[in-house]
Amino acid sequence: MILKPQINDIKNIGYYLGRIILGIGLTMFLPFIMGIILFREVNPALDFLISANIAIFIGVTLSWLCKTNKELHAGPAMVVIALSWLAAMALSAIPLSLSGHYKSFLDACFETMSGFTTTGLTLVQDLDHLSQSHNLWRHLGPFLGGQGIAIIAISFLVKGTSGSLNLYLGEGRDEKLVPNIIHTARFIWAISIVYLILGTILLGLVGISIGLKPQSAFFHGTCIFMAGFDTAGFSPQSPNILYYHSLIYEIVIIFFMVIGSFNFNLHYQIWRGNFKEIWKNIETRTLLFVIMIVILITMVGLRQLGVYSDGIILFRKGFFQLISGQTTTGYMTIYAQQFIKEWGELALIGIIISMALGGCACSTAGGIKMLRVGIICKAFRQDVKRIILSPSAIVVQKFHHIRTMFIEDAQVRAVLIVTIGYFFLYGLGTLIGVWLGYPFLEALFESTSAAANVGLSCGITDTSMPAILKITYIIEMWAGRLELMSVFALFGFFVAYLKGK
Amino acid sequence: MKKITIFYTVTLGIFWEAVYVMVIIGVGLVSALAIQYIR
Repeated sequence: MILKPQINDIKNIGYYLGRIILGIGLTMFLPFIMGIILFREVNPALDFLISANIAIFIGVTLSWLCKTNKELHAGPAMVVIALSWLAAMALSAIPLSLSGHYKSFLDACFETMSGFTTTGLTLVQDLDHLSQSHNLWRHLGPFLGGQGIAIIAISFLVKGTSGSLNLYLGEGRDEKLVPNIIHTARFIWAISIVYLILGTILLGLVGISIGLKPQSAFFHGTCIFMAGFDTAGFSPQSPNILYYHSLIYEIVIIFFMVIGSFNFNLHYQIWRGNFKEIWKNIETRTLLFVIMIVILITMVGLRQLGVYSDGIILFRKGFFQLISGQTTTGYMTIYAQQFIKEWGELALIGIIISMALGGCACSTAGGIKMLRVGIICKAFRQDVKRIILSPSAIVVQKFHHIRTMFIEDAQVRAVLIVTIGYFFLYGLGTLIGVWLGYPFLEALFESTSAAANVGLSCGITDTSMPAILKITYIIEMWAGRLELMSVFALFGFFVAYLKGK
Repeated sequence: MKKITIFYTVTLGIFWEAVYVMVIIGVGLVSALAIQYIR
């Protein structure tokens, strides 16, 4: 029998949702203040003042109406997370929509969902003339969403450790860095802030060395870092990374893309002095192995067609796109149409595999994740051993992730459920793409890019694409970022409300 | 931990992370250069 949610459950959801919306509203003051003081753009800055007031009003009202002292349980926490990402998308789209650079409010919603989920697919029009305040907001989205919207609330706005833990788990993260969840959230911010300072300085200096003006170089550096480390792939200029025409700039970006796709728990271990972890961890080992395989597929594909005649160009075009796909960032040093017109099917398959598998768990990256890929490979090896060895032999399979663990059937089952869920998402978007008339490989490429929160595009994502495909990709980005479970919990909650007793 | 110790371990941590990325970049660069000789 399905139990109908009680009024207290709904109040609890409303209270926590209100706090998260309040947090989103407060963050809008950053582009407002920067716009007034640094960029001297009064009109664009006012868009943020209007939007911040709307968000704060909704957040405060919701928290006040649903005020409760009860702890948030796991199920309602997942509903809060699923709803808060939708609320973040809609409210953050208001200033972008007011900028006049989006064809419709749906396009602005697509952009913000793409930003918060660290995807990087974009529908902005005339990006090169977008105000710096709006551009900062586009790039701030991945920085907030990459760490997690709930992380903002847990760090500053929500009291009580049990509720905070459930919110944290609802965002597709199941690893705590330290026993206390509030300290975990703050440490995630600490890692991001340290790298933000380092990345902005480094990219700013490289920017100056390639001829950008200092203020522009550091603005670009901040934006590129936020979208690179948080594996989003937004850029302040329409040609994306191609705009900079610099090998050093590209290498620095590769550095931050890979670092951004690392597990936060791995950062924590290494930063505490456990340096060997980087070579022993199943995720980093699997990442290296997978990269070698997809390099082989992609490079052979490109070589076969003679797309790039020079090794260095092959590195700057082929390898860069590959790492961008593998880390689920989506930065590009080629034009979207070149994937289809020049790259050929084999190289595209290599990129699709890298996008589908993605970066590390508990990071800003999307996709199936290296931890799951590693565990599936180990489980496969264990089963092969069981077949080969004598029936009475006890076969155990170990793996190292922070500590040495044994593969368990329940763990493999959980891993396979999420993996199948991702394949379902990739397939769903492909099916709708093909139904709307796009070729199979292009539809598969774009759907995988959206669901794995990558952001590489072969040209389908455009303001002129059908609204139904925009909505499909929004759902894919949302479900992919939350690793499906919170989305299922939200649907389950509605079903329980309608049919429960 | 003292602040200087934290600074030292974090710097070393970032260094080792950079070494890992350099290995990946090295693999990519060598593959891109080597593939030119394969027919």
